[in-house]
Amino acid sequence: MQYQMKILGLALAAVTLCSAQPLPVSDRTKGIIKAMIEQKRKNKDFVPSSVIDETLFFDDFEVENYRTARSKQAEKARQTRRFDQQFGESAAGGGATSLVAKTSVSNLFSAAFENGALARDRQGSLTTFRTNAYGIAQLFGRSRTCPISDPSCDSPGEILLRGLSGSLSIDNAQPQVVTPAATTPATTPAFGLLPSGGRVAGASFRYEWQRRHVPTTKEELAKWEKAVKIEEAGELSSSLASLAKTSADQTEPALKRLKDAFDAEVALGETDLQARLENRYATALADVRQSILATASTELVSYQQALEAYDKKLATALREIVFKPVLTAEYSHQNPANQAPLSNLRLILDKPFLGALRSGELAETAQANLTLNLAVTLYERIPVGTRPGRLRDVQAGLQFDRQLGPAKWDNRPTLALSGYYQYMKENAILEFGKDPQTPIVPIPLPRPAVEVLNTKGGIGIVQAKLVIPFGKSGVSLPMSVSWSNRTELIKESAVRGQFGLSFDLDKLFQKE
Amino acid sequence: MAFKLQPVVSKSNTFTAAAGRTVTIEAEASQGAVVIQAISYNGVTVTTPPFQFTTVAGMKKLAVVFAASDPAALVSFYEIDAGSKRLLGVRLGVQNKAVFTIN
Repeated sequence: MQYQMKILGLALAAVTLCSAQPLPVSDRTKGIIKAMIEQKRKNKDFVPSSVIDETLFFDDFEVENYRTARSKQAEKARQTRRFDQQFGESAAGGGATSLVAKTSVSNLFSAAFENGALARDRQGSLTTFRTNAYGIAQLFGRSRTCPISDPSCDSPGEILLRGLSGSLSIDNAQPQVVTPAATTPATTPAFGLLPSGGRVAGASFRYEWQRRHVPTTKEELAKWEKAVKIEEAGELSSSLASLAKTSADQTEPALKRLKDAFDAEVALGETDLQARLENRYATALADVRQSILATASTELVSYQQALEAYDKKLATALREIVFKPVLTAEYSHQNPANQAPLSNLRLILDKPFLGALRSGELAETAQANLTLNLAVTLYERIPVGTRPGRLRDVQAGLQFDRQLGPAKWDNRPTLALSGYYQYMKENAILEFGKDPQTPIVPIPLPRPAVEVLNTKGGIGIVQAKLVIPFGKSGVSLPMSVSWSNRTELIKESAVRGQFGLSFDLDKLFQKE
Repeated sequence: MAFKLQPVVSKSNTFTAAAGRTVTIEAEASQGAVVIQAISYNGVTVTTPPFQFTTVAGMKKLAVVFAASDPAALVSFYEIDAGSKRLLGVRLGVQNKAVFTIN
């Protein structure tokens, strides 16, 4: 009976190992192939296959490589399918397509072009640039970003930088004056006018206290490191490599085939040689695995069990990071056209849920997200001649995001349904800068002219938004329609359409 | 001058040797520097020069771990005997390890 169980175990292990995803070619092997090509260029007599021995396979069989490959795969899956990032202007902005701001931003740089308005009155055309401090530091400092498999390679200062980001919004439209009666072009440039004709509409700083990409606290880091190390493996730490070393009879034929294949590829010339050799190597690697599999032993069962235990532990650790709630604090300075400058303080909290596990992947990724915004807006300065309080309004917003389409799609559209409430505690104040006249009837006003509008009260907005990503390009198209009972300046209900185009530079740097 | 390792012509990286012979290994790089960090044979690891091992009966693997300053350099491994040397095999600097089979 015990013997039958062992055979069953071996068979199961063999089936599992056969059906496992092929491991990617290790960085070491890629480096070796590159050096082979360089050497061949310098020395025509050099035969690349002459340097090949079974050590070429060792790294690709070692647990460490398995660990790195697995966590890289999970990291890529999460980065590709995340939809918790804010590209456009924050919800408080005048031309934004977003009613509710998201917690995260691009890892390096993003740009968004938006057209429309939500709580504000003017249909603006806005360009927003966002960048992350850590991404910039990495760009000018180190050439590599610490992978999730090794977050501790960052210094504590660098870990802190991960959460810090900023944005700048440019209003591309001609400055206009909006009153309850009419909208007219302003005759004088507003504050912050750029040489291009655009105007600085706002700037923001935000900090993610709980960043979803990586462990952010010491405790999380310790927990994560414990998870990603293969402690269970113990004596199996050298894993299949030791098996390969003792299985020379099995590796020898595959090694011979690899040498022949390499020589044949080199003879074909230099075009795509690196890729062709890597491809040949990947085939040989699978070949060797199959050969070793044929010698199924108790070592193999133990190895397989160690890998399965590791996968479970890594999946649990990844799940904790991917589904953890994230809290972000944001300060934004806003410079709405013809209004007094404002400061907005916002707390953003989100919680992903509804996990889906794709075939062949290790950990689930979220398909839905709930985001809550709480914010207050303050007057940065009170215009002379008016007496409002500092606190202009308070805001609350809630958004539900749901990815659409089959879970197997890499780039799924996202549908967002959101509700927003803003209580205008103080009246809005219009400023006419150097313009000495009111917009409609040219009544002379003292300089600088101000007008306090009777706009206190609640503003309610609901919005449905669809974000369509364009493959792996990093470009996505947000389109939305919103209804509001009124806007900040005009006490009439409105149905509006908003659209935009956003670009996330991270996707360009994402490796296959 | 009598080298202890005899190459098997039909099989690369494979040698025959009589049991009980002491073999010394050295490495040279075509450019830059190379150092042998350790050799391992029959369960015995040597981490300081001279890098020597004593052959035993049966098929065993000789593993050499090395570090080269130029990853693209050719690293040649030699058996040393009374001031003479014979090439065992060539690797690239980036490989960092080499394995030879001794029967």
